[in-house]
Amino acid sequence: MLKIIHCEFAKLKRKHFVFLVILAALLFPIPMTAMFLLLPRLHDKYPTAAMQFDGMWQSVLGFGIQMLLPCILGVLAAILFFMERDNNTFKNLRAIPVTSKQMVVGKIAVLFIFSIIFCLASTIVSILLGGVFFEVTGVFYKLWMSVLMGIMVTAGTLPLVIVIVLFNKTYIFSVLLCIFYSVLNSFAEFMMTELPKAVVFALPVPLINLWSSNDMQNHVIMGDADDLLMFKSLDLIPSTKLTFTILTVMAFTSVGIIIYLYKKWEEC
Amino acid sequence: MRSIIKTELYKMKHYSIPFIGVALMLLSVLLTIFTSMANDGSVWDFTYFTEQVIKNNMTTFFPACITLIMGYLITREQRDDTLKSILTVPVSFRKLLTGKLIVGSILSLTFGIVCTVFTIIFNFIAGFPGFTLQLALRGLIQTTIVNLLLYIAVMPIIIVTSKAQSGFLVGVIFAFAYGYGGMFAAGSEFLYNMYPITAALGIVRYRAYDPSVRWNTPLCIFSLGLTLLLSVILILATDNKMELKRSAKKHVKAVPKKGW
Repeated sequence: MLKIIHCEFAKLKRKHFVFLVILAALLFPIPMTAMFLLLPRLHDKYPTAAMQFDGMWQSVLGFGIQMLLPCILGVLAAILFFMERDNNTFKNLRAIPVTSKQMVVGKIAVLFIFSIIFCLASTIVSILLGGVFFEVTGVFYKLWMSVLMGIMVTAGTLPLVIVIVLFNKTYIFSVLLCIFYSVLNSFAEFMMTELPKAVVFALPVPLINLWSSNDMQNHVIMGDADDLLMFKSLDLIPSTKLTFTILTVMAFTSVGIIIYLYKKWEEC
Repeated sequence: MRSIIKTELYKMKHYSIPFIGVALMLLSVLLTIFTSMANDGSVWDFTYFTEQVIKNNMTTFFPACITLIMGYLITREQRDDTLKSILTVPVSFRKLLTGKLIVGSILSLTFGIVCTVFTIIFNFIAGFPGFTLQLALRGLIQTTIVNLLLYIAVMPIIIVTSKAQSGFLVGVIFAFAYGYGGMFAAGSEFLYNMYPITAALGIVRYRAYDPSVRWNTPLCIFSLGLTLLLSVILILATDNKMELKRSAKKHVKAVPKKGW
């Protein structure tokens, strides 16, 4: 399996995707730092340098990771899963032999690794910028939370990969789906109190956001503590067990369906 | 140039791009209806609904989608291996790109009209009050022009990422973040007048009746003018060194041995 993952990375190397993913990780930390430095209303909300850094990092998590990452993962999944079809390399891989299951698991492992790299890169850039302009605290917790975010967001994005593999006609449709999925999740996040609890928990971004904000309250300075109290009063905070169960079920079911669909592709 | 644009429009007939754009405009309106469910104290009428559609289009859908559609249209020549034939006509890649970008502006305007039609239809379905023909016309003008200006705002990304066959997918990610950045730019008067995405709203005087919104139209025009100038420079810097499709080895038919 390690060889398959290594091969997947070697294939992606030609597309310069690793470099661009790390570059995309800078998209939010830099403007967020500028905002927290320049906007007076944020200075009122976060009076100390340590609070400003925590606020900036939480914004990077919220917008850069929870919103942008599903979109990036969708694009990456489309590239990974269409690669064998586009280059007509299915039969060569089957002759080695590499089974459909191994191929799918390898590609999904690449998605998880990329996601973790992206999240860690976002946090490391935030820490570096925070070290220059603010006051950095709780580095290990923030790095650990980034790794967790990477794993959780990828697990929650796997249902989208099913749709990408299912509608395998063009990149364009798959990428549009990714954008729609990201936007739907981000809109649902703004409306968590109005939506039925089952819908909120079925959508990965609101679920992860609710769980992480509860977990973070003991480790970082929360800018929106009142919101958290309101979510608690509405019984909207999922337990760790429930969160990980939902995401695990989502991930395993998705992987099973993707393997089935990939087998069908090969037969065509 | 006219014949290039005409040819591009002919080619469009074979693509599903216009339908994808229409579907996107529909999704944009549907998601706005979805947000109207939020109990945040906002009073929803036709004007507010149209404004929300424009805002959601600006921050979430349109920049990424037009980048995707244009990237797909431009790289299609490489993917279908027709670029080498076009270059031998001879039509330079710069001319072809310019033609395609002009077609993109027509598409943006068309999507604006489609979006307004969906907004009006769903306004009646949702039953928001305050619909008048005058407001509908204002909505049409604002939505259509904003779409065109947003297209100008993302044009440099389209040009830069259109050279590599799958490079436009990276462009889509950047355009998505760039569009979403409009939401943050709204926090500062200088930023929302200078950031090309939000400057598009300033030119059409979006919510100008609200005293807290202070548009500086010359600054907005300057910002988008700079973006357009950057696009022109990028087009002028474009050469014919493109990533052409690698020709696959042709199957050589085995010649049967003669005799025994």
